[in-house]
Amino acid sequence: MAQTLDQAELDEQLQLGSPWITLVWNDPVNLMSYVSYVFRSYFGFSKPEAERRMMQVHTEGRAVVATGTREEMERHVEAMHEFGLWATLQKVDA
Amino acid sequence: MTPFVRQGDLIGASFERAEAEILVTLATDVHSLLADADTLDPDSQSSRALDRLLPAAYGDGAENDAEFRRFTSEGLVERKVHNAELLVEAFGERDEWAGAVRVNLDAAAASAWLRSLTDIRLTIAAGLGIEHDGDELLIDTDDRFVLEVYGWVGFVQESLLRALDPDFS
Repeated sequence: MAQTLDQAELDEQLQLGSPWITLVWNDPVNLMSYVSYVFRSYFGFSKPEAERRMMQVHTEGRAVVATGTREEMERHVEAMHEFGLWATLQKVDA
Repeated sequence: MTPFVRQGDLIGASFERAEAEILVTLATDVHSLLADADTLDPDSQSSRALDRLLPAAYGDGAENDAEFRRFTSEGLVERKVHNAELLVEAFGERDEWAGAVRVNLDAAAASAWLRSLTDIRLTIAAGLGIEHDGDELLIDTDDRFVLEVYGWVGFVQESLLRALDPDFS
């Protein structure tokens, strides 16, 4: 991951014992404005934060949008799929 | 089509009859695709479209993906079908369509529209083979009309997002 902020967030979550992440991947179909809307309306990110993560998806191919338990991440991934975004979950290798 | 504009609690736009017809047809196509989800030939174009609507959650191509889909697909299909129905319902009775067809969306309908328009675009993209950024520039001339519709559906969605935007800023 190129974004140091996200690495810091991940480290913090790992220490809290939440080793699963939800990733949103770049796809050629979804509009940038829609991805930003989803991040704001579903995750409650501020507009700048939503835009930052949306741009990360766009330029780096993916972004971490949530960390937590496996069950929580499955719920987020299902919600993203309802929005039509390409999301996956995975365990972070500690 | 006139762009979406907020009027009080509603967000409205006017579509020409032909445009309304296109959106209703596309939403109905997505509805049918989802309704047939269990019986699709895995090698068919419909199956590829379905993979875009219900992507793999783990990407391991194995048990985790299969299990996630087994547990979530019923609910997801139900909600996606419902979103498509709300999109169609917003146009009202076809017998009453005049020269222009007015739609007025409340917050719930607008949210369903955004999702359904996305499902429509994912389905068209699967048919056109749009898998990476820039693929739409390589589309065969025979598919140009479909590509124009795909772009237009994106325009409708962008217009709706622009009208909604103050709620999320």
